[in-house]
Amino acid sequence: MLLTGSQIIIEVLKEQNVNTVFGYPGGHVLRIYNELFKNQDTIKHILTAHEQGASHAADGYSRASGNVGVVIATSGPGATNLVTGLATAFADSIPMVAITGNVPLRLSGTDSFQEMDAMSLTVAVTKHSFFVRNVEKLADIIRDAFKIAISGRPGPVLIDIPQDVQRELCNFNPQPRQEKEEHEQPQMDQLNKAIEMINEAKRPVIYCGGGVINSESADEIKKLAEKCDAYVIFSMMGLSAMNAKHPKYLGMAGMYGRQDASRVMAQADLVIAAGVRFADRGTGNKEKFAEKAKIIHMDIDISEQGKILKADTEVTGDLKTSLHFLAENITKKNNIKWSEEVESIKEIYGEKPADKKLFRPKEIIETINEILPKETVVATDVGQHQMWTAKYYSFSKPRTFLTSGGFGTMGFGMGAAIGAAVATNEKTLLITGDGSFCMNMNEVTTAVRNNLPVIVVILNNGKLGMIKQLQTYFYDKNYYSIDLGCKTDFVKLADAFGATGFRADNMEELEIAMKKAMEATGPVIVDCTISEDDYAIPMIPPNGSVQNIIT
Amino acid sequence: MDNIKIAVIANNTEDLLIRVTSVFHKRGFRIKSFVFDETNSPDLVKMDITAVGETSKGEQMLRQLTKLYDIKEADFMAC
Ligand SMILES: Cc1ncc(C[n+]2csc(CCOP(=O)(O)OP(=O)(O)O)c2C)c(N)n1
Repeated sequence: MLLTGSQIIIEVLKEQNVNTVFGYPGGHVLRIYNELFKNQDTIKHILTAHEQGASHAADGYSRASGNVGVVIATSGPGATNLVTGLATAFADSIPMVAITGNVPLRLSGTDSFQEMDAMSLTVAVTKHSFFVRNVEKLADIIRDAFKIAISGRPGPVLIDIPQDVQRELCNFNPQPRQEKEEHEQPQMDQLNKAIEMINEAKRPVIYCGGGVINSESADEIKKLAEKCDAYVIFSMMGLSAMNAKHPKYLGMAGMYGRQDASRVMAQADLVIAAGVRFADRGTGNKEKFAEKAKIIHMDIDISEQGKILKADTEVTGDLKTSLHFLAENITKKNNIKWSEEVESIKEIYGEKPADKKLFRPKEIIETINEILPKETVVATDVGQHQMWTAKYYSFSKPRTFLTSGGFGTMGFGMGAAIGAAVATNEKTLLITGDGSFCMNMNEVTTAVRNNLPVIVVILNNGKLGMIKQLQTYFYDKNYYSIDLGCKTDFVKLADAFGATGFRADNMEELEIAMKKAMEATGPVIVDCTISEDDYAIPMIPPNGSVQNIIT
Repeated sequence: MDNIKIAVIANNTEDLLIRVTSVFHKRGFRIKSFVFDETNSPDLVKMDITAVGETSKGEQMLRQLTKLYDIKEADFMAC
């Protein structure tokens, strides 16, 4: 079959079962858009307000569904606008394919209009990037891009395609969908050593990261925890890997985590780390991290082994296989003394129950949690609201908490929520701050245009709250450049965008607003005024440990 | 700060160098010598790289290098 490059792009996307792409047109991708026009029945294109929004939407789509998120942008400014989105996905190991157009090859390297070497530009923010010089190679490169994105540790891949390559004709042979590369199988001697360590442990803890979600190993974690009677602690990326109501669930540890979780980690004699990379926010001072514990580190990515901590046993390879094997082969145990000790740590250092008379972040989030259906996908932006959501929202199944953990990208949330709403077709919640919301609120237009059921709750403290918090504790309260002095009326703004807006200044108003939001069609914005003096504490200072926790 | 020497076999692509050098940069290694050579196969090239940096980070850098899509083999050589 003789096809043009742009037809080949569409054919390969179909081959990979892609039915949704996010993007923004421009001169150097118009040939691709012309083919998208002809294929509207099979591939839906969601136009965003900005390429950054499109990249976060493709990322959110992938996080919520497990499928590869696809984004298309034009050359030059289109490509540069994708960079933050790609970096965000890269830091959190999210499979994405980005397609950019570029100037025709004859103009390549001449600084022509909107020319930008997108392949080199994205070396640091993608798992791999391609520049397609020859239409003969196009189909296989796109197939490779999908394979790279989903194989091993997932991540984003960019393909930069000059305009003339999109135009040229080439023979096309359809192929089946790309499968993941066979994962490296964990080595038996490592697994046997891990089994021995687990059987010997009296105070075991499982430490879950995003790898548990990527490898769909939530069931295996539950089985392992129940069999060796271990408590389960999470990095931010791992939250939602276990139902928060499970008796062994201890939530997030680390810098902004739960104090009881961090204290339990410090008392453990064994940490079974699963798909977690001991990033600084979760680990703090690595010398003091889980000081009394031996560590088993399981990861698909060998370059994570020994990067931060030297584990006593390194299990490299497919996490699901390893966890399954461990759960099958360890001895069933009951660590009664350990459980008593953990329960008493929880008693002393756990979160105090909500006081519904107060309109504080904790109470707000718990109230929203009660009103929304249990399996609602929740996205956040970055700041205090993100930490409060991580701590106070009870997630009940994997892929329901979408947050920029590794890169900490303010402005991620609106795009991510749009992507998740497109993927699930269900009510999707975004909890954001006034600062973060203002970074990418242009994407409300996308949600309105597509009538997406996104509920945006702004925890509005009039400040860059997290920066205020850091200036409070570490910079002598020299408050500077944190006052948003925002006169924006977000309710009117919702109206102006064609969305629905509510204000909530107390719990009663919030409950009414949330119930109305559930009934509304299309996007809703709920503006909650909160005090600027609420902090995301307890907090472990950077490079600190529970010993110097600020409460 | 000490020398490390790494031998690499990789796909013969235009963008190989930029990817390889960016890993050295990321882990704080300064390249002192870089020998780039053809192999019997037109699709593969070999590189002998000497760099100076914190040797304790060398092992980790090698793993990060090996992870690159275009790298087929990478290992230390005696300095
Ligand atoms: C793109 C980007 N720029 C800057 C920062 C640094 N930063 C982290 S949190 C924060 C303040 C967030 O304020 P807001 O969204 O209002 O949330 P709050 O902390 O008040 O809940 C800033 C500026 C960031 N994470 N991302």
